[in-house]
Amino acid sequence: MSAATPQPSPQPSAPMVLDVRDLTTTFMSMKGPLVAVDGVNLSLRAGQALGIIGESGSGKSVTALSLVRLLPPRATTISASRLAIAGQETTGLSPDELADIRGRLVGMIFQDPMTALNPTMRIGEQIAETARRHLSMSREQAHAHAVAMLEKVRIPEARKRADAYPHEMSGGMLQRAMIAMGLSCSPRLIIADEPTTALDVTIQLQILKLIGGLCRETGTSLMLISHDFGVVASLVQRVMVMYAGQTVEQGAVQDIFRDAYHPYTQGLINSMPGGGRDFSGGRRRLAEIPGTMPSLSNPPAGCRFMARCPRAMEVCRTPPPVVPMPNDREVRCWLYAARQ
Amino acid sequence: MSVAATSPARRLLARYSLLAIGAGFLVVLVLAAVLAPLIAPYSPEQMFARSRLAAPSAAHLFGTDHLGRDVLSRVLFGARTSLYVATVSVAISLAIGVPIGIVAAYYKKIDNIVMRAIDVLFSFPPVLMAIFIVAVLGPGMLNAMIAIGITYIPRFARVIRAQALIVVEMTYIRSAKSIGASTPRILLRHVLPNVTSILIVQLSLNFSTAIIAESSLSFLGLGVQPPQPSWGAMLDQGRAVVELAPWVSIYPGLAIFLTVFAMNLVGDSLRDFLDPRLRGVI
Amino acid sequence: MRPDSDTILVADDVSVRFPIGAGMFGRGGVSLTAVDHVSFSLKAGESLAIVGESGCGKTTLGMACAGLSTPTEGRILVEGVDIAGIGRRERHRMRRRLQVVFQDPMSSLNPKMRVGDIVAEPLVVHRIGSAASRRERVAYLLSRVGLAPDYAQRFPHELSGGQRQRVGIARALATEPRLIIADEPVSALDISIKAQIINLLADLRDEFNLSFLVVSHDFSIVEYLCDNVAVMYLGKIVEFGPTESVLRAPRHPYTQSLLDSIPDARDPERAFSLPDIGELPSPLNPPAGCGFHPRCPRALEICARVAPAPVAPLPGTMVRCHLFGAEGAAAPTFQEPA
Repeated sequence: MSAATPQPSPQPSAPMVLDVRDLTTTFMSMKGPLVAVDGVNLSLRAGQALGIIGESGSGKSVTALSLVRLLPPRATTISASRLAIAGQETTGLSPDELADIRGRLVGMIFQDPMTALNPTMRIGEQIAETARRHLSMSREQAHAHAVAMLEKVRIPEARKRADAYPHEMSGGMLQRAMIAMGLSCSPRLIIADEPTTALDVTIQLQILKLIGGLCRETGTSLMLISHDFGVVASLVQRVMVMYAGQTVEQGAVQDIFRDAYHPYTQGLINSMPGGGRDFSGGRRRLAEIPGTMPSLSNPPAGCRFMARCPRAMEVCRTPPPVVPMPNDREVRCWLYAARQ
Repeated sequence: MSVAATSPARRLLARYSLLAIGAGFLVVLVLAAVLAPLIAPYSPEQMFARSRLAAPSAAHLFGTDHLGRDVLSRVLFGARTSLYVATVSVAISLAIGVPIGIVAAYYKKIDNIVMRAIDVLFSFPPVLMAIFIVAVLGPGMLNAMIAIGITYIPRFARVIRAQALIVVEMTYIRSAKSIGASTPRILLRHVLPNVTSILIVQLSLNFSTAIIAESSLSFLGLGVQPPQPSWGAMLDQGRAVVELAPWVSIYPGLAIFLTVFAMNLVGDSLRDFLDPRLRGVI
Repeated sequence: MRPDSDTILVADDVSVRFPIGAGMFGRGGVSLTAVDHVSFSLKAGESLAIVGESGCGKTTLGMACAGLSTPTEGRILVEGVDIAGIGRRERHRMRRRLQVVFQDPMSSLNPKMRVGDIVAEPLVVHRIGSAASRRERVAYLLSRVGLAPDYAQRFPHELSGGQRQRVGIARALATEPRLIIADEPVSALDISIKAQIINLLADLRDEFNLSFLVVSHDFSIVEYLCDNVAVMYLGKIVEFGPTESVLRAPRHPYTQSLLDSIPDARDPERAFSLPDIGELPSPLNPPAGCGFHPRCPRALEICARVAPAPVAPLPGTMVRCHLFGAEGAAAPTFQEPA
């Protein structure tokens, strides 16, 4: 078994770490309300890993931020019929209670470590800060804990590095430090939003291995958000594809990759070049999806992908249903509605 | 279950009400100044010998001063003076300070020398600086405008330079060079338009300081010379009789205060309004 | 496919060094070697990709080729003319033949200018045509890159990233250049938009017989747009050759690692089973001998002492590695498709 394959799907009796139904997030903008996330359902059990694939404007990052309420409170409306983290319903909680959950139950890893870390605080201090707050450690204990976490993410000379400032470290090192921070309170869930997009290719691989390995080792669930199928496929078992604020397809990652149902997913997979390994030469064209994602301030009435879909039909002018498919898969598309 | 947001209309109102009040007052002020000859009840120089230091009444809404002149009329005509001097001096500061700021940001080699010179000027307290220049040039409205204009050049240069430094690093500047655009074209067409938002804010804030500077100079007898009405001079004249006839000082003082306050409200709100990061999110 | 065989761009032993922390009066400072004795040539109608990771010097090299910075050593020849030595008017004329497409669609367009003015600017600067003919050309260029002509009235902030990149490409085409240097033209774009832009560039290249010099860390554009690829590491070109052979059968171990590191959704475990190769070294303190040797899974004893000289295993290819010199004589590693 290779170094980072996640464990196979755990027993159905494994506790739910994330149970979200009908998540809808609306922004108040100058042009009126903008529905960034429209009725998304998510579930994740302990030890599982879920990937969310989408492009800019798909709502993938907003979904993650909505789960932990890291969006500007006065300009955002978040609603859900259920939003439970580690079994605890979070919609009615006060800001203090939410802050408690963040860090203790949920650890976050953001895209750009340069901006996600405080440039005026030493790395060790930032990690220790979360430990002191959530684990009620003393200053010395928290510092020792921070150094231990830095060692865990394989930062060389961890004791010395704990006293470094963010600008003194490379992108790859900083991302490791962020992972250390995310894992420091042994959360039940790690949300990683494009954790490797800002990194070089060779470093990207190391970081992915690290995240995968640590999550497996500690039994932490993982939600990995990316636009890159390859990145996601390497760490998760299940993936959810988002388009214009909605989920268009869900299922096991290899199933989807081998045989995607939704035309958008198919288009995305075809747009990806072979990554250098499958090169068959010649100046040929990449399969492309024409057009652009619709603006969320005025989404189309029916299927949101209709304008770009090679298989659009008349019925697509009405909102397509979410159709359950065999092998625990789902697709939001009229093409499969007949099987219902 | 939902976490609600306050309505956008209400937030828009709250944020921009200050801007509206400030702008409204300034519009009134400018109209008053422009229309002074039409709306002032009397000529500012007309002396009512029998009504010296008269308290406010129906005939003289703001009272009269020690020479029997109508305070209201003098305040209205004083507005003209203040606005005129402030406008011209800000224009001088802008015309010299902005090019200095932009050129210093673009040419790193001369940046050091230029900014050190600017810093020297900056280190003088502005009003003292203005007084010094007027002392050299002699009192009078024109010299007051020049003095105030020169005094505030460093402020413009610094603020514009800070913004221009950011702009100069932008890829579109490099892109313009790659097309073959000449340096004057780059500075005028690419750098200058992208510092205008900060320029507008600085302009409005500077306007209020110019009003204060003009009033200060006139107060000291160094600005506009009598009998031309000026708020600062009126304050000076009112000093001697402030216990007997406070209205002689109160009204011009109030005029200065309200103008500066309004201008600052506008300046602050403009800064928020023009900040692209805040645009689109209420 | 290649009507004229003249050489459009030559880098002749180019080095670019930056002084860091110079002492008083410029003495006793350390210098950063961003580009280290790089040579290549590009024929008309051909496309070359320069790939590598951060700190390899590819962007610096690209900017030097575009004439936006001066090499510390060596020469850049555009259509046979050394661009360092030419006068202002000649340089201005050169800018008509050589255009640049920049990386960041956010900051590469002046936010205060309308799209039409942005695309027309090269024509204005070079005094080409009248106002009316420029308007026509702008409309043509916009439609050629897939934007409706009424986009000319819009401002950059009204456009998406992909649309802004199209505007940048339209502007680059305005003066009918022969060579376009593109610095990470698709890196900031989403996958589906990336495919559109790559296809667009390939179509334009064929239609206008353009030459491209593409600087990228993203292999997708290399595969679909460029005839040859040069792999850079710590300022040197470590491998050069036709795209197909370099990608299918890389010689240099760094090229191999780079290609292996790209996660492949079809075979995710493959990348994970390979050994860690450690951090990128800082260009301020490059390793002795071969710059890659501390991370190289196939390093020989000599690699730590002696920097390898370039060798050409086949005409039109080059590799800088002891494995292919007299000491090594290894065969290129062939990758069977998984």
